[in-house]
Amino acid sequence: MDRYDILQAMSGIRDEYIEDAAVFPNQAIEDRDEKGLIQGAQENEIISGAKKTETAEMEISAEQAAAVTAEREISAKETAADEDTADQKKPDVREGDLSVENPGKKPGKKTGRAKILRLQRWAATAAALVCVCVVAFTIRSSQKVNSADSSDMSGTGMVSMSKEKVKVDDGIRTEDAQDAVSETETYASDDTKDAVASGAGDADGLVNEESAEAAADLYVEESDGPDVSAATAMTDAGVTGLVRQMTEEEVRVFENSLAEETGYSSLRFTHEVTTDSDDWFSLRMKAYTSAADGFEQVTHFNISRDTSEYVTLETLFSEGTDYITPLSKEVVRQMREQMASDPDAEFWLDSEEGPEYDFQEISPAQDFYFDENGNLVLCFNEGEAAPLYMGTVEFTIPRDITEKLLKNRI
Amino acid sequence: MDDNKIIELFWDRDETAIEETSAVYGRYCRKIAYNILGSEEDVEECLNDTWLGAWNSIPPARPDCLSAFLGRITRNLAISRYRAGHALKRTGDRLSESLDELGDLSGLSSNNVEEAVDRRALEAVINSFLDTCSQKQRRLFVRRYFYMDSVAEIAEMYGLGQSDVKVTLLRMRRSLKKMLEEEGLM
Repeated sequence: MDRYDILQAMSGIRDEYIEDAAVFPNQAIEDRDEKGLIQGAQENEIISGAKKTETAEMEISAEQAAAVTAEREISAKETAADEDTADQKKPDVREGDLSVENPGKKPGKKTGRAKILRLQRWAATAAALVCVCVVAFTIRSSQKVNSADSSDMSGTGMVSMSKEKVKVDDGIRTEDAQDAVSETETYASDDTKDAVASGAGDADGLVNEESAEAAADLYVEESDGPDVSAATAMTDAGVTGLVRQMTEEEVRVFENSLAEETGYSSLRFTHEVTTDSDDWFSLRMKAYTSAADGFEQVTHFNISRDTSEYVTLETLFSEGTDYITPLSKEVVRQMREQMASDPDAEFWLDSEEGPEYDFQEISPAQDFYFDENGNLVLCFNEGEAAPLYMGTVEFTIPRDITEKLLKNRI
Repeated sequence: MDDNKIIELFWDRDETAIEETSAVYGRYCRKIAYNILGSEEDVEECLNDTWLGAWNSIPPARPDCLSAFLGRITRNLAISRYRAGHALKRTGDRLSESLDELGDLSGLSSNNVEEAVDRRALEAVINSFLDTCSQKQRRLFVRRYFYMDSVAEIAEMYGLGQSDVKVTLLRMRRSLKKMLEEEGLM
């Protein structure tokens, strides 16, 4: 047997694996259009952050499939600031706090529906801010898709939330203090525009008649309003803008990926305050892309409480300080230690066949945060320093190493 | 039209089956063929052969997964075509790259009398190996060695760095090789 035999033997890969990895180009789906069966994923249960998803179908006629209109009903009063719940310790699930629903029909328009099923809001027990926005949508797999227009439908979502006065970077609006702002956007196909829903402000003004919803329902779960000082710190340090930039970039990548993806896909952003100490405020943001399987990208936004400035790894050290070498050595040491003690742990070190891909040293702008004890924690995304199955990995750098390097005290 | 209806058309010997198949799976199969052959002319001929192959196979076949069934036919025809030299190596050496990657598995033992048996055994080991992989790994592997996508395409598809994809595939090949050795196929 030669290499061709091996190559041809790959044809014997099981159907389910071939289908699972299949990417059907848009046109292949468009070709299937007849009456536009669109399958949407309906997230119908949110319990402590866990989500149960079941599939719903709706039919769209070919004529209606020209565009999607989602009319929105927003109860402004219910989306008002949640100060009255500020002392609650337990989640207070209030369905319909923010609801956007109803597939309004217009002649010549494609009919869609957008629902923000639940807005879960409960008070901050600390400074934690957790916003989860799930925009779930399904593009029917090539065996099932019937709609041409559904083929390039996409959904994305973003949530930003603050009790403080927030000015949205693109100048869409400025909300009053105490108003929680929840913003979601979906992007749909071709001629359709954004669907924007907000949990505050003039509801009527937020209805976008041309807005569209792509074979998908929108789900927003919000929990834990941030404390005022945290939100102020974020705004002052320009972190809100950075978060927005990051989400927009992830959304762009996600949209691009949809051109070739079929089946259920979702993009979820999660914000979480990892540290809120006297010295540091760190916001962890996760972008989780799921299409049967998932990829998680984590970024930390760190703000010095002393200077109220956003800091990166480089800015922690005096100019000219070689922090990369000692931190990298420590990371490698911990990698080896973990591999020695845990047979399932694997990092990209000492490869026989691919040393060029081995972990060499940290990036000058390696992701990091300070934990509550003031220890520097270096973070690596999936595939960055270890095989994908290891997920995101973190290494806590001992103080005796960092104290000699940092230009300011921890 | 869904798969069952298309298959029924084949079974009814209705020639619109080919038209429907081409409409639904044309691009899907074209991508596979193009990844291997790299020229529109060759791809067109390969696709025509694919539809003919499907026509000749169904019946008696009644594939559970029509996409995989057609993709497999396309892939085998394209590789055979390439191997026979019809493609004039216009692929930009994409296939050559894949072959080179699989080179470390080319020390497979061969039973000349029963090579088909070896092939089936090889396929079984590949599937057993994939069973042990995570879905992520499996997808990368299938995209690379079944669909013959380039590393760059796979990296973009899954939002990974090219080096991540390369290293993951490298490690998977190494694991597969080990499994083949254990099974006595190397």
